[in-house]
Amino acid sequence: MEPLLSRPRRGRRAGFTLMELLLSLGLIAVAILALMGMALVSVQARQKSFDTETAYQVAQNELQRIVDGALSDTPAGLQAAFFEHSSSVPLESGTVTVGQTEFSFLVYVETLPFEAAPNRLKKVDVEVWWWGEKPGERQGMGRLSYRTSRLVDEPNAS
Amino acid sequence: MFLGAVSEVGRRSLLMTGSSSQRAAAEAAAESGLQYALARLRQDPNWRGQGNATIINTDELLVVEDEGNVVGVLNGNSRFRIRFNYQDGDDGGDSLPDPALRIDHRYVSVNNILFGTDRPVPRGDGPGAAVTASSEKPYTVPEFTVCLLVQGQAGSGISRDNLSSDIASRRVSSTVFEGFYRVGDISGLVLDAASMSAGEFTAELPNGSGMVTVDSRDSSRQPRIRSKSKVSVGGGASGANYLSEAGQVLSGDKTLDARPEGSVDVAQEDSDAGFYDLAWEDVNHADAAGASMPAGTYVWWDDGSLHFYDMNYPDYVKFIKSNPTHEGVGLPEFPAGVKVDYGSKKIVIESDVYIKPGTGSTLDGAAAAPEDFAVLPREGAPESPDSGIDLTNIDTTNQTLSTYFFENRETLRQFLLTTTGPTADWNVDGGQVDFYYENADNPSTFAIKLGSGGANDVRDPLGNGTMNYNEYELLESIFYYDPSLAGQSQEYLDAQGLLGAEGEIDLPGIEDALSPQNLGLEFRPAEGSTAVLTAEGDVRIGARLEGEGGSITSGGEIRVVGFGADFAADPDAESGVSMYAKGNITFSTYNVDKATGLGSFQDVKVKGVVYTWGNLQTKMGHEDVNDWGNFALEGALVAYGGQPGTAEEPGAPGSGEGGRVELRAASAHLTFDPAYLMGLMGTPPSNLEMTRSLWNRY
Repeated sequence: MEPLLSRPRRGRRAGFTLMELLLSLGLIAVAILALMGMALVSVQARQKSFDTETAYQVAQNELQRIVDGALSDTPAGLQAAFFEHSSSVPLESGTVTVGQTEFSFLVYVETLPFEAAPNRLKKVDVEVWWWGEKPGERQGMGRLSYRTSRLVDEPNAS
Repeated sequence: MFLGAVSEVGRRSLLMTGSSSQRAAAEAAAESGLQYALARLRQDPNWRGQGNATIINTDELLVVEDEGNVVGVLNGNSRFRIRFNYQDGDDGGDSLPDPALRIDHRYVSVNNILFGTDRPVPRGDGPGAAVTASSEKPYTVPEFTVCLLVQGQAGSGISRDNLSSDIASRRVSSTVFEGFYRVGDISGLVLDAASMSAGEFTAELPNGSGMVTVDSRDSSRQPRIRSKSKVSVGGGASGANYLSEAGQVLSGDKTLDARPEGSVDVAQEDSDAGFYDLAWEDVNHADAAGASMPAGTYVWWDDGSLHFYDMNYPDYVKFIKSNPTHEGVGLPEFPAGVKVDYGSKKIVIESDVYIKPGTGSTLDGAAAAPEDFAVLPREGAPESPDSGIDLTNIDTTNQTLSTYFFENRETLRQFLLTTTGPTADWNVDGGQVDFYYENADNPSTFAIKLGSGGANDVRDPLGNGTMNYNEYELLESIFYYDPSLAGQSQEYLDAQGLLGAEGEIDLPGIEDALSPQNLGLEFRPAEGSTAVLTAEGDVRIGARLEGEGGSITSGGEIRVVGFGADFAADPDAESGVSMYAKGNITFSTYNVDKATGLGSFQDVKVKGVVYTWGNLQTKMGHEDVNDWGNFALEGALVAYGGQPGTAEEPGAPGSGEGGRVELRAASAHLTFDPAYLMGLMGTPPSNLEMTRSLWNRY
């Protein structure tokens, strides 16, 4: 048997120290937290994307509904109300629920200044928002509202 | 890798959402541009973006027009662009100087609302998006229609501060909406109808076949006939002889005397309701100071020569019978917009022409100063096989003889011409009718004596009191006195051709092979324009009336004889000519084959508005002729029965004479389309209603 001092070395050692282990776990935890954060942001982005897309659809649907109804006077009285209306007070308001999200909307109608016109040219704005009592932004989420506009020519003006 | 994928999916979702919203905003912008254009056209049917100013300027909308180019910016992040300008230089094909506000897309809009011919829609595919001579013109826009091509854009780079900027396609979403909008109801105050008549609407079809059909070009409009009097259809198919799906008939007596197929809503015509109110001043006329031809009678001879007689048609008939070989006065020099095609024996009208009245005739000092326009073959243009005189069935149950003769002046005239003398008596259904000179000092007038009184017991034709000189003039307008007829026998009159078919000119010693079918009067204005022929007197056309985008306005009567075609052989033959007359309007498609002597009636399709202060009559059938003609009209008929009103002098329908619509044909098909009123109107109305007839997206 050879003396201990003369035995050759075979690597530093077989395991990790506690410090190394703790450090590793810490790094892993930080990485996981970071990745979870990214994943959370990504999920939120996807959710916002989905909600925003839905908001566009809601806005388009409400815009089309209002315009079609005004032109065809359906329900009765809507045409007069639509073409007579011109103020900062919304013509209509409401909510639409899609999935888990409730979307609120406001419809504004104003008469455009258009000289010597026998008819009225109207501008219709529909504003849709979600996750709040009014259109706006949420910290970390950005803008949570969408607005669309269209012009509408009054038919058969007197 | 997984997380990277999740991250990427999130990022792309946002991008896709952003693209989706941009596309939606671009579409909303394009639709907004269409609505803006429609509002401007409603103000002014001539509009082509020539506001040349900032039209709207609010916080959320800016619209600028510059020499036919229109840009509107919505909410600062989307815009619409419309171009009428060819951007081909200041003297280009669009009659617009080049704008400072240039548009780089190729979709050029075309406003053809006021014109009766199709126009091509060009693409701006030349340098700088210009329209050049070689530019693509993939299709045309129809008459009385506007083609609107509106580009909508949304995305970054759109700014109110730089309207001319061309934005890279990666930064915007673009879409182009195209709509064709055709003129609809011009006057929202008038209940529209394919036929409006102050008097009776009567259609006479051959026994056993034929139908009157009434419909609308725009299927959303209820087809309708309106009469302040009665509506009746006689003859026709053994089952139904009237077809108007979901249609309506408004008559003064709330009846329809016909055999309708299916149910037709028959209701009371409001006696106070108006018709299309087109006063003489409101109608498009040729400028009296512009291109003109002298009034008179233009006659084609067999050898292909055209002759001019500086006299009205009735004077020409008297003159030529006494001078059958006279060649007339020299042909006038025709204005630039009138061409004579000697090969086809056709007069072509390319632009407005005024028929200039003369001060007298160099051929006959006794002839009236000419103000009529007539074109016909040498032996005239017969309207029917015979004079049409039939006095055996005068119904005096509901009208006096005087009323009958007043309403049927032509019959009275022919009746008087068959007399054996100017002082003969007749008994007609128990009523006694005399006629005699009222006084020797005024031999050109006759008086009608009704009843059994003596020579001094003069009853005026209207039966409302003592005759006055105004009524003498009225009679004079019914017929003219020819001293040579005094005391002549019926055989003599027959030899003179006075008992022949109306419109036929029997010239002793002359055998001419030409008939109206061999001649033509064609309206051929340039693309996107119209041409008007205006006469202060009567217009008599004994030729094929052809072409499109034309209109005839007459201060007297309009008679069109011998036109039409056989639809079986030529299904596309049609006359795109509107007509407006202070007097009656008469159509006859009678045609005699000179070789065989057989007569027949041609088919005719008129695309336009036929508007008369008096009566409208079609002669397209006769009991002695086997082949009757089919009558089709796309537009509207108005027999106003009086003088249409102006703002200063309102005139209700039926406030004057006539107002009857009398259709005699194998069949009659009326398709209502008010757009053709645009071809007659001098001043385009505002507040036009337009109906979308086509929709497309690029």
